[in-house]
Amino acid sequence: MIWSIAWKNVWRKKLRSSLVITSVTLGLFGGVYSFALMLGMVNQRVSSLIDNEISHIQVHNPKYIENSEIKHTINDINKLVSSLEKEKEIKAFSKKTKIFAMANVSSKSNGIVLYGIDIESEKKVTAIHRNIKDSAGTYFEKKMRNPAVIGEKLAKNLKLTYYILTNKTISKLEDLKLAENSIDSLKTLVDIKFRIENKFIDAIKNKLSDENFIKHKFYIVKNSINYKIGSKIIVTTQDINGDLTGGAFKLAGIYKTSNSMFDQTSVFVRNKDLRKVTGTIKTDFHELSIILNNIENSKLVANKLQKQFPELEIETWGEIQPELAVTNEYMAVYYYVFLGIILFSLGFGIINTMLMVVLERVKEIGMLMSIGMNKLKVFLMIMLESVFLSIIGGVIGMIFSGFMIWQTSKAGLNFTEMFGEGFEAIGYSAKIYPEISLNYYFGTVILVVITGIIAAIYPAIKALKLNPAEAIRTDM
Amino acid sequence: MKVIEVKNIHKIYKETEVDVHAVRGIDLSFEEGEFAAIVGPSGSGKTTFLNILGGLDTPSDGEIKIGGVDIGKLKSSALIDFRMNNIGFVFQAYNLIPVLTAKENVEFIMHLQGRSKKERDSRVSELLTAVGLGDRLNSRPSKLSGGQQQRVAVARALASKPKFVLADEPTANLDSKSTETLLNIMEKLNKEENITFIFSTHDARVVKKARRVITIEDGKLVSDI
Repeated sequence: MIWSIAWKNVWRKKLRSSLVITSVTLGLFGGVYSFALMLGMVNQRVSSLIDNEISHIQVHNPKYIENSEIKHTINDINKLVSSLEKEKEIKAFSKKTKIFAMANVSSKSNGIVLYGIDIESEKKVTAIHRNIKDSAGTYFEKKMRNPAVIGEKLAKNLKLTYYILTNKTISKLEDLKLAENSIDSLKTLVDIKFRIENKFIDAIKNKLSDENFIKHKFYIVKNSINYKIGSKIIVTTQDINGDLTGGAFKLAGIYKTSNSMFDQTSVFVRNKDLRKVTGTIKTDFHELSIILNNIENSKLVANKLQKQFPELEIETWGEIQPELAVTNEYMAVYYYVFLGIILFSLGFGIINTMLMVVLERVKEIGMLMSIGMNKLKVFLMIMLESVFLSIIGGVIGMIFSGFMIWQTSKAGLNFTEMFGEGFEAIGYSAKIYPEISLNYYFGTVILVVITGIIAAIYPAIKALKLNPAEAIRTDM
Repeated sequence: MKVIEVKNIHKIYKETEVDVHAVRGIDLSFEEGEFAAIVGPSGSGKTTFLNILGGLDTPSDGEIKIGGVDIGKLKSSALIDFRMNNIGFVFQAYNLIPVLTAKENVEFIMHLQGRSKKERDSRVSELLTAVGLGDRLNSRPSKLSGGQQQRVAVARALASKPKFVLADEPTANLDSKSTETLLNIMEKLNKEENITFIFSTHDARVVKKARRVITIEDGKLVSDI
């Protein structure tokens, strides 16, 4: 009966209760949804980092970690490989040469990390082959001499791009309802080749109004970029003896990950081609990347391998990128602190409402105490009303946020136009797929109930302090 | 059989300036089946005395026994339980729970007592029929007139099978017709069921119906007729 009264009391002042419920709903939606965005971002970053950059486990010669010289290769790689082949937890691994070099194209140069890879093994370990941009070459599929696959950012830095506005791009703009006069202006730029991005952008700017320029710039540039596939890239580096050496590679393909720093510096070539430049032999490798069946076993497998090969440096992805591992690990703590702050402030709203409830019902509470309702039951009645208020708002907030997360996780939230460069400069994708696990929902329900209970304490104490004889005669 | 025995009770309120002696040595007793009215002007100590009778306040001195139990010696929680099981209250402003129906209001105290659903259902129906509201079981207080609400309050007071019913100015908010109906119902219950009613009142109609009239002035018992 106490539960029933508490529930009915919630709806005694419908407008007031609805306002409290709405504030809890919105507060919780804001908290849960923004956390889901953050969790999506971090998880995407971790996935991208593992898929494209560092895998689950990496093996190096410890000296290479201290000083990345070409001579510090992994000792006795064949013994390591035969051991890895026996380990059931290991899904795939890839050996590579990794050296620092300078890439030069005409007058432009850029410091790079040159990876000499075995294409088939690398495909099983990294996702670079899946990240080749449309109409931007292939991942070593087209036959050419000394092919190199480079990141989009590096291609732009080395001026291996050019821009041509095509009729196809313009026809899409017509579909986007761009005014006819603007279309006609843009048509004057069709098939003109721009070597420099800024000049191309300036040309578009001159043809469009400010509003249309801002609206369509991203689309036009994205669809007008072309890459100079087949262009020569001169690489200067050290050979196995530490002497300066160099080689010419041809641009075979352009990849793009969510980390523009990685894209700017990482160049992939075939190991056999690189060996010719550096003078390394078939068993010279600097890095061995491992992908496991389950990321959770990274530490376990790394420890096992480390025991077998104490002379090697075997690190998990979390040890290579500790800041991301810590962020990932503490996401739950972060969530509950974040939600705690939101609920703390919402709690004041509930306290305020419950205080009003008690003050309005002094006479009624006095009557209940007079006829024999003990303090525990009075407390329970007020607490339940507070918990109902918070939990209704909480459940609606969670359903609403769950629905929005589900909806937006299908296509992702695309911030590329607004913050693309900024996000990618720090390694995060600008297209975010929000996500949250059920565990967080259970934790949230518990926190909401606790908020309801805590918010009821002060008003309930006020009620319990009432003298029934006086309360019953209150003029309210 | 004596239901209430009051022996030389005093109530002194400690105020900052002077102590207020609200009840000054009242001796009284009530037999089972009485229909008594306590009257007195405002400030006479009538309300304080009634609070003590109802176990809502404790005397500063003296003894009050209800059914042989000295309630002045009961701890707060025990006193609450004692009130629930032994005293029925009817208040001036009805004080029904607005979100509950007439039936739920009456059975609420039986819930607190832990009575079974079967017992609750039969007693609630019996009581509401006795007060003439057998057809309004599912009406909320807002749908009932003042007189009807007070009749629900009487049914509620009786639901716990108390030793006596304490009614504080029960007719103060009622018109003549409702007052008459209410008093007739209470008189009938008193006569037929032998239920003890004690009223605090200013209402001449209630005084007229009462078989015993106790007058209090300046905290003292002035007359007991």
